[in-house]
Amino acid sequence: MNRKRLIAGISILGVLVILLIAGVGFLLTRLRTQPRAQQRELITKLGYCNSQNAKPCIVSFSVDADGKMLVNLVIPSETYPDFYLTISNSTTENRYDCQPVEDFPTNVYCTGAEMYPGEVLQFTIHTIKDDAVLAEGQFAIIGLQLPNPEEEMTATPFGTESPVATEAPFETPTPFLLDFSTPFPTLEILTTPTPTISSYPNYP
Amino acid sequence: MISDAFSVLIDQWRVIFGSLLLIALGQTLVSTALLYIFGKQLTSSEYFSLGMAGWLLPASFISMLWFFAGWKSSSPFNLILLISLLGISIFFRLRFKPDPAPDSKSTSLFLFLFFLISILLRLVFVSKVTLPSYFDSAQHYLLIKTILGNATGLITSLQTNYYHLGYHILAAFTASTFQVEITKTMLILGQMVLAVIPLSVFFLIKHETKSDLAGVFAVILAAYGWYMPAHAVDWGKYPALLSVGLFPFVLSLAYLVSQNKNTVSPQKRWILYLILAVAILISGILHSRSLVIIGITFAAWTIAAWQQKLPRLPQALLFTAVIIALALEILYIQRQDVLTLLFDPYIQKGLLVTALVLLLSIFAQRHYPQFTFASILAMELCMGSLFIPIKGLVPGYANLTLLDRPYVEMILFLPLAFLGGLGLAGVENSFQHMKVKTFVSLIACGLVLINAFATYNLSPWECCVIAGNDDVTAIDWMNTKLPAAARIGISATELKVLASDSFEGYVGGDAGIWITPLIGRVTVPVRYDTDFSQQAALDNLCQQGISHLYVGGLGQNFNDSQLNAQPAWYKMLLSMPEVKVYQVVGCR
Repeated sequence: MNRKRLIAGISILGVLVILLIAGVGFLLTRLRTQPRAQQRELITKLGYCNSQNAKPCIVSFSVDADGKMLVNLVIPSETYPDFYLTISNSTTENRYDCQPVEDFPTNVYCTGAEMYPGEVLQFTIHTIKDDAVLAEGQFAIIGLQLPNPEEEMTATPFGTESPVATEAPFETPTPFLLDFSTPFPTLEILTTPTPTISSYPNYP
Repeated sequence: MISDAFSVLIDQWRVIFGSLLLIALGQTLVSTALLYIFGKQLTSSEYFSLGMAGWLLPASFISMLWFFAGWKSSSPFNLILLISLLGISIFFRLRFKPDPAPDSKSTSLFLFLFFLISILLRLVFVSKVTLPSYFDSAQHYLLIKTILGNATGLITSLQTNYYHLGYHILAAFTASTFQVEITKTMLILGQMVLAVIPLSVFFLIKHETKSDLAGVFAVILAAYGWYMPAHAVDWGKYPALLSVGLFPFVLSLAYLVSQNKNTVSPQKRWILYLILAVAILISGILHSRSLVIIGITFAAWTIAAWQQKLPRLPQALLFTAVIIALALEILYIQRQDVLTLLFDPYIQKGLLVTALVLLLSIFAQRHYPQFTFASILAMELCMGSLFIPIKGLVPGYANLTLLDRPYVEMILFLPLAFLGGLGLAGVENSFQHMKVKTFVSLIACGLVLINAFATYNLSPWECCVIAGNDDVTAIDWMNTKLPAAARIGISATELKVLASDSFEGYVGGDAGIWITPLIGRVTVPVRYDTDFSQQAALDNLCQQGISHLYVGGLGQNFNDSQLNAQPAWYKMLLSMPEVKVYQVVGCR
């Protein structure tokens, strides 16, 4: 009888643990969806991502050939409210519309006018719904590299034409074009004269 | 670190809940079936361990039914079905007349708490990565996505020469039932399997030695003794990990069959045979190389049983010959560049624990000679399998050996954990007083745990993280900005893991390998060390119609300084601190 009690006890404990995880996760997720942004003390500090794991945070800045700046952010959870970003200095304020990365809802990037590194700027995250401030911080842009700056003035939109338009062997991209588990008998792999290839072994 | 784990627990509660539900269901179904067969012959902690070892069996079976029978029902229906099955199996479990054999209650409780703590610790890994590690993960992702999105997933998948789909079907079932992202499912399912594997070694040691502490010691060794099998997730070797996870169950069942041939009724014996056969079949579907491991273990056990029947002198000679052969094999393997990493977890980085196990093995051999000999012989045969070629057996794979280095490296922890457990039980047998036995066992467990505390790495290894936050953003950006006809050149490197050092194909060098799986764009592998400053490289790109190049932030990526040096040939479209996207503009 004691054995049965033990089995029952462990079973119940197991089920409770599973339910507890589900319950706590669900509740906390619900709570996170309702940030009371009007209350000043709940505004999170915005900065670069680091080991402290505070989110939202900024991963990096980048620039595309259209001269648009991309701000790459990580947000705390997928239920974080839809938002936009503003970046301002002493004279101007620019708005950056944000979109989550497909299949990675906690990775978001915001696109807008290019800002230059060095100057300390004000970064603010606002909810789209009611313009409430969710997070803000002051810091300078670092690590921004301009794409081929000497050509920037003559750059043409790159999303509208294909450089290989004359040949379209893969009209419909197939996910199985690549079979990385076997050699490519028909594909000439670009090589250099160096005989050795791996700088470190496979599966290190 | 623990806050990272709790953060994952909250963010990913659905997939964690789902995985735990599958584990609980599998555990209950398996332990109930075995309780029906063995009744009072096993203890409650043994049933607990066996159930945990076998959870993958019902979970894989259900997911395969879902897939093969085209039974792609809605997520809430699947969920209700799983919860109902769990409830029914617990009900039947409690109604069974035979109680398990008397046992220490604290052992089952310890194992359960050990599992819970292991889950928390393993979740730290998930908090530190954006995408599952290494290039293998990208292919697994693609297969899971295909299964989820395509009713004829099986046929399409087989076209890739990929022949063990059990993991992908289980992951697809989990992602579909609990409505979670594939990447998170892969990451968390992998960590859950890692948390369960150690518990599955408890049964064999406990049953063979009758020592709870020896079983617990084997569990601790399997969990935190060496960085394997946990490092398998850094390689994205999820199917192999699942097959390793189910292997102790197959082993335990085979052991029970051999030990209880005459103590169970014919009807129950047939049920046992059936479960064993299904477990072997599912092992093969999870990873075909597990069939080789099962064969090796069977051979090792049979030879060990025969060796025990020999007269004393031939028995000793055979044992000595096996030890010498093993030593020579180790020396030979260490001289092979491509295989040298095989012993890294056990000698270079795990020498202290391995030395402790070797010391304990002396006691194991004295008290449990058959099991010990079988473990040593199995290790030797596994290493020997690295050199046995199989040509033409698997279409598309010209140069294969029975086992490859990563798989052997992954699984060696298992015989070593067995040897450690048996050895500790042997040491216990050398002492008369219970308190001394307990003290010695606790010292041994403590040593392994202290070593783990000082050296064990719960985070992903830098070697194998090839994709970061910038990569996923850049890939998403490419999806919206690049023309549909774009052919993207991505970094590739050669795969070499066989003893022959033969070329086995090209694998992704950086996050470019994720482009096709994530956004369905055409990618073309280009050697990562291509010199883009040379006209020949440009000509080759043009010849293959490569319109864009992706330079990832991590791993073995292209040299972007060579690309920047040729603005007339390569135009930078996106510039992130580490990640770059170029358009090939130099083709005439």
